This record gives sequence, structure tokens and C-alpha cells, in this order.
Amino acid sequence: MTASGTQVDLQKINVKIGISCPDDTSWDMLLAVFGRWRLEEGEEIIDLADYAHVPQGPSVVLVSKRWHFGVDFARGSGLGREGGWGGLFLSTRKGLSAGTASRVRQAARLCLEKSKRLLGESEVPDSIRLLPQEMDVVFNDRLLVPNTDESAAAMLPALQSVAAGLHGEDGYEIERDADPGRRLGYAIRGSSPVDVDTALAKLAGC
Amino acid sequence: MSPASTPKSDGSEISAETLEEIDVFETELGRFLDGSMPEKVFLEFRLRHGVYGQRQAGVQMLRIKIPLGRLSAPQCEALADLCEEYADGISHITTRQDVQFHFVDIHDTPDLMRRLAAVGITTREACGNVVRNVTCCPDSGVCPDEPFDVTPHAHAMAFFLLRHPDAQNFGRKFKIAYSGCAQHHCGLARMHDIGAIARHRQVDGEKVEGFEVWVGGGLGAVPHQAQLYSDWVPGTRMLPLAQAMSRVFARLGEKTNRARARMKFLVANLGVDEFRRLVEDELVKLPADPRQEEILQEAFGRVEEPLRPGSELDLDAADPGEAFRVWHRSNVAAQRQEGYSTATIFLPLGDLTADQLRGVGQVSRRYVNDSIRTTVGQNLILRWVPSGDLPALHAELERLQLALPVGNSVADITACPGTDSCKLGIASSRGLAGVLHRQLLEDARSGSGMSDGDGGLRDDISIKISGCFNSCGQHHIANIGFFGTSKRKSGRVAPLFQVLLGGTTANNADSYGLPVAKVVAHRAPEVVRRLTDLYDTEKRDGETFQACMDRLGKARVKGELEAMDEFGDDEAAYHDNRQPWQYIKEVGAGECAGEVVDQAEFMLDDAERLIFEASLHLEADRIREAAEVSFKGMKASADALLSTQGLLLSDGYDTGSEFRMRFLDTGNFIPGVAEYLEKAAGECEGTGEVSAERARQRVEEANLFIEEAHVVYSRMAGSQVK
Repeated sequence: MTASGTQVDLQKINVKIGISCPDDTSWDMLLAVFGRWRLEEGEEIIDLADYAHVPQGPSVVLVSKRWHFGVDFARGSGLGREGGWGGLFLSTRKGLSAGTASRVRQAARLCLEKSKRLLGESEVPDSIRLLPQEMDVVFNDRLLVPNTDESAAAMLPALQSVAAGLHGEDGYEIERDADPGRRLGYAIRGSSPVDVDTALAKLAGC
Repeated sequence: MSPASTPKSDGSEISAETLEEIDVFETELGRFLDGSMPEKVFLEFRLRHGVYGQRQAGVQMLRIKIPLGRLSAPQCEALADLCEEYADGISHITTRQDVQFHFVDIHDTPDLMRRLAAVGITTREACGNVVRNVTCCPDSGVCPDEPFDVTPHAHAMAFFLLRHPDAQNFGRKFKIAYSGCAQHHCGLARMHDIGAIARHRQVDGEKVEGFEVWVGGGLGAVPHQAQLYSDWVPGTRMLPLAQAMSRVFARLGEKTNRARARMKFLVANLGVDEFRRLVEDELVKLPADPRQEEILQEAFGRVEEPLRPGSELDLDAADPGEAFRVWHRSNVAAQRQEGYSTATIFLPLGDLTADQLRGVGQVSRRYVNDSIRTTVGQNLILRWVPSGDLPALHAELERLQLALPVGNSVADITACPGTDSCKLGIASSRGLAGVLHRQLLEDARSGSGMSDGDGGLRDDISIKISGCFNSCGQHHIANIGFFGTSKRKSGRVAPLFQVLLGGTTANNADSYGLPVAKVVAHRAPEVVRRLTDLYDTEKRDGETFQACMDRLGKARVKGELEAMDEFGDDEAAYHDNRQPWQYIKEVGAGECAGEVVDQAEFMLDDAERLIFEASLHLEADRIREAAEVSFKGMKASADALLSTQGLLLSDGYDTGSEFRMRFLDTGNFIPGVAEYLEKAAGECEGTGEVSAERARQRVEEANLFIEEAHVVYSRMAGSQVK
């Protein structure tokens, strides 16, 4: 929904979920894991892209026609995430439907599902943990959702709805990215830890 | 086809022509997707708009033309935004100073092009059988060793040939480079179809800017050293010279055998003396073109201004820290203008994230204004940095993770996309580059191996890697070059690299390497260490790597790499670098050669688009527009047929009279249909006012005219084209 109340067909939403892991973690295992995933049918997977050489970059990305998924060390949207901020991210390209809140939920669910599956792979060390209470949501389409106060006002209720579904009405904080040069993005922080299965269940139910 | 024009390149506004061109692209994309445009024609059409098929089906690589590699801060920021929204968040700098996005949905390309146009960037003629991005030494204008700044000359060339009608009918791509000097490694002029090296000459007692011109150079599967065309051509004559060469190449260049269609083969076959004679004949015939003067004036009017006054850096007094000192030594060079420096931003494998590219734009706003350039070494250079600001700039680049102190060192590896995204790739050039990059950075950190012993890396050896023999990674001009190949053994295929030695980027790439040995892909990183050790052991005082290897001889060097191509039961041999899955050789049809689509076919297709557009006008009751556009369609199809007779749009011939003489009077076109063109021309010369009924008739007549043009063209071509 835009500021004027018009429904927009927003397909590009990025969700990044924080992780904790040792500083010296090598993510080269993604080459083997995504090397297997890319052969699977049904998700329109195109290939993987290896950017492990790029500092604070996306490391290894699995590219599908509907989404891109991988680990990412770029800066996030809120305070404390300005430098490199590690997380698993999913960027949707198509396939979202219904209202904005539903689309954000769909993107977040996809990210959680892929992340859960990734962390269950044998190559991925147990020391890597997912932190669903630390989430970034970015509207990745400046034509439909420019980074303006009007867009922010239009998008905030959808984000609040998703955050409340995950963390309860008073259990979260939302912070808008203060950099006007970037896309409209938000840091969502739950006040208590949430495990992946609970987060998935809550996103399915709300 | 619209006449050539000078696009706005200052980012201030989008020209109507550019917008119309993108609208046409969108229309043609729609026509292709609904099956009304032949795939072969659309392929070459999209290539000419920078849209390139990846190895992976269903996604595109978008090549974005950055003439001379010149980027402004707003352009960096726009590119950053666009690679986030339409690609995978990475911008890749190419060896032609372009920017590439990968994994782009073709449906997004018109929007992408419009947003690029908003900051003065076009993808037009970034790929396809046309004049590719004109490259230029990134230090031009600030280099202490150049006789003069070649930037305006190169800029004029880039925009003069962009969309030029004489440069639309080649059998293969056409590459031009400008170098500010003969000796440094930044211009690579002698591996180009046209290479221009700056030289002054005294003419009537005045020092005049001009160029040593080299022609017929090129890498690829069969590399050719350029030949000297002239030891001096005045700068003001370079545009007509290039136009004349384009005409000769379009007329005589190979069109059928793609492997021999580059201009290097034409020059080699004719001999440079005969080629020169043909070009000089063509120069005499060229019609006067006032655009040349206008473009040169515009180019010389674009003066790069520093943002701040120059200042000196006192390294002893400032104490900026060891990290800065290492970076300063490897990445910074003094400009010829006192108080200013250039700073190289080293990009691993030519890649940077959206945040980094946006950061470069923001940093340049604070320190250097819009004087950013991409380099043929796949890096970025900030020019006009006040030397006293270097510590602060370094701190900002460190924050962006863009201050790796290995610029111009052995870690500055060039690699083509290889099997990561190119259909022609045989081995993973980027995988090998990635492995080497990681090892070399570790050497720098630990002070071992290839370290210079002082926090950085040695800078006396260069490495370039291609995924196949076509040399997009420029393996021929590296001290150590690699290109991907494969070998079958016991029913399994393993990726290998061919190792080349003897190449150099110095002296505008005047020496090409030759193969010495093959090695299994996963052992290729070891080759660098072995050859470096050999050099360190055997070199004599002041001897370069290239000279040392030449002296030692092929047999001695090959001995160092003995048996590295053997693999037997070694499972690792069946896996490429950074690819843990089993290697499968899959080579498709590459798009770098494009499709040979005769200019007439393009023009006939354009005529069809115009008729479609006319019918839309008619449907919307835009009577005058319907009539005008249908006449344009007829004229375009008549010009298409005339192009097969050797007529060039740039000659400014009269379509009506030439068409009558060559097609109607000769009985080659149905007279009743040919009259439609004359009738419409007569009406347009009058008031131009037509009734709705007459407009409808003209649209129908234009349809018939174009149909007959197709029939005539098919008959002439000896096959059913449509």
C-alpha cells in the first residue's frame, strides 16, 4: 500500500536474519551445500554465485528466479549494524501475493525456512546460530517504494503487524534506516530470543 | 534508423533520442516475447543494447558502457542502487572499463536502462558487432609521463561512433583504445583494432597533438599484434580516420566465418599497406560532417576540476600508521599536478558491493568531485586527491573495506567470467583467481611467500586468467597467463589450465605470451609459486620476469611444471577451483561474437516496428502521427534495400531517387507498390495534413511496401529471410 492508499505489486523484499558465529568461520561450505541445492527441481533455481572474495559481501549466493539466498556481511538498517553485520538473507524477486504485511511475512518465512535447512546441513558447524529476534527488512524497489517519509508511513503498519505477530505487541522495537541514500529499510529487534521453529509457526499463524 | 547524434553525457537530462531508443527496445522485447520478432535478429538487437545471455538459462548479464571508464558520484550511486534492485547486489568492473550486472531478468531491462539514462549512462553498443566501449588510460590528464591529455580525443571518438550508421554493419566487434604514452601498461593500445598512442609533432613551428596509430591488433584464440598504420595522425583527423576504417571493415570484413571476422584478419589478409590505401581512398570520399567539430569542441569543453586545492603530505610528520604507509606505497601515485595524487581502489576480481560502490560515490563527493575512473585492470581510480587528504581518504576507504594495499601488485589478477556465467567457459577462471587472491592476501598478512617483506605484495609479476582460449581474461599479455581447457581420461573429463609465459602489458602490450605447459586446474595455484621461485633463483641483476623466462627457455621452464597435467586416479583433478562438485564440461554458443545480422535485416525489422507503431497511432485516432510514422516505415525499408547496394546513410543520399533508379526502373520492385513511397513522400512535402481515411490507407500501403521489400531482399539474398 502506498501513501495514497494504492496497492502496489511489491515483489522485491529483502529479509536478513542475524547469526552468531565465531569470527574465523569459513563459509566455503556453502559451495558444497548450494552445489547440491541448485540441482533440485521446483524452486526455479538458476545457479550459485561465488563472491567470497568480496569483503562485507554476500559470500556465496544461491540464485533462483524467485529469490536469492545466502550469507551476507553488509551493513544492516539500524544502530549497531552500520559496519559488517552477519546474517542469512533472502531477497525475493517474484511470487509474493496479497497485502504488504502478508508479503513481508512470506519473505520472512522463506528466509527462515531456507536458513533452518541450511543450518541443518552436515557441513555447517553447530557453532553457527540463527537469531530470529534480530531481523532486517528492506523494500528493494525504489520505483514502487522510494525511501521517503510517505512510503515509510505506508509501510510501517505492515512491519508492525509482522513484528507483533513474531514478538507480541510490546515485545519488539523497529528502527528505520537513517541513511536517505539507501533503500527504505528497518531493523526489527525482539526483546526476547525466539527459536526458528517458533518464529516459523508464528509467521504462519499471524 | 535515426541519424547519429551526440547524446547528453553530463547527466543533466535525458535526451529525447535516448528515451525513444529505450521505448523501441521495450517494444522490440515485447515483439520478441510474443513471437513476432525472429530470435536471431532479437539476439543481435539486444546485444547492441548491452543485454547478454548468461550461461544460465533465463537470466541476462547487462553490460553498461562507461566511456573511458569515467564515472561521476551520482553515477556510482545510481549503479549501486540498480545492482541491488535488479541484479545480485554486485557490480563488476570489466577489462573494457564497463560495469556489468549479472542475473538480471530481461523484463526489467527497459526500466534499468531508463534509470541509467537518468544519470547519463547508456548500454547502447556495449555488446554485439559494433564499436565497443572506447577505453582510455585512466591516468590520462594527470600522468607525469604523458605528452598531453588524451581524454577529450577519446571522449570525442566514443560519442562520434556511438550509433554512427557506418558502424552498424560489421561482421564482428570493433575495439578502440587510447593511451597517453608508449611505455606504461595502462592503455594496452596495441592489442586493439585501432590503438592510438599520444605523440606531439612540430607543425609549422607549433607543437600539435596527434597519435601514433596502430591497427589490426587483438587477442582471442588467434592473437595478432597490431601493425603501425601511421606514426602520426593529427588529433583533429582521428574521427574521420576511424569512420573511414569502419567503412572499409564493414565492406570488406568477413561476415560468414565468425572465427575470422575481426578486423585483425582483414588487416593481415590485405597487408597494412593495402589496408591504408583503401582507408585513404575512403577518406577522400567521406562527406563533410559538422558533427565532428561539434563533438570535439564539446569534448574539449569538459574540463575536470579538482574539488579542493592541492596539498602536500609529509609522511614523517603526519605518522598516519603502518597500514596507511603500505597502502600509500602500493595504491597511490603522484599526479603531474603538484599537490595531487591518484588513489587506486583495488577490487578483488573486479567486484564490489552496492554499499561499497555507493560509498565510493560519497567519498568522491568529499575529496575529488566526479573524477572517478574504472581501469582495464578491473579497479577504480580516484583522481585529484589533495595529497594531504590521503590519510583521511584511506581511513574512509578502510571503513568501506576498499583499502586493500595490493594495487598494481601480483594480487591484481585479471579474470574473465569463465564458467561462472559465460556460455563459452571451459574452466573456472574466477575460481582460480579467487584461490590465488586468498593465498596472496595471506602472504601479505604473514610476510611470507609473495610478500614484498614490507606489508605488501611483490609487483614484478602479473597474472591474467581466461576460462577458455578466447582470451577475455587477456591471458596473452600477462607474465603468467592461464586459459581453461579440459582433458578426458578413462571416460571422465578433468578441467585443466594451459600456462602461457612471455606476455606483458608494458609498452601498450607489445608482446604476447606463448603456451608452455598444461596443468590440472586444482594445481594451477602451485604454478605461480613454482615459477616465482624459479625467477627468484635464476634472475640476473635487473632482469624482468619476462626476460628471465625467455633466457631460461621453454624446455627449462616446462621442466619446472613437469607432470602437473597428469591426474590418473586423483579425485581432486575432476573438480575445478572453488567448485566442490564433479566437473562437467558444458560449452554452449557464446554471444561475444553476436549474430551476423545484415544491416538490411535490422532496417527491415525497424520498418516493421514503425508500421506497428503507426497502427497504434491509428487506433488511438492520432491521424497525423499514423501517417508520418507509416511513411518513415516505408522509407526505412527502402533504405534497407539500398544498403544492400553499398549506399551508406551517412552519405546523405536521396532515398526516393535512388530507390527509383535502383529498384523501380530496373524492374526489381512491383511498380504499383513502389508508388506508395512516392505518393507518401509527395504528401509529406506538402502540408502534411491527411484525412483519417488517407492515413488508414497509408498504413495499409506501408504494410504492403514492407512486405514487398522483404520479398525483394529475400530474392537478393538467395534465401527466404522472412
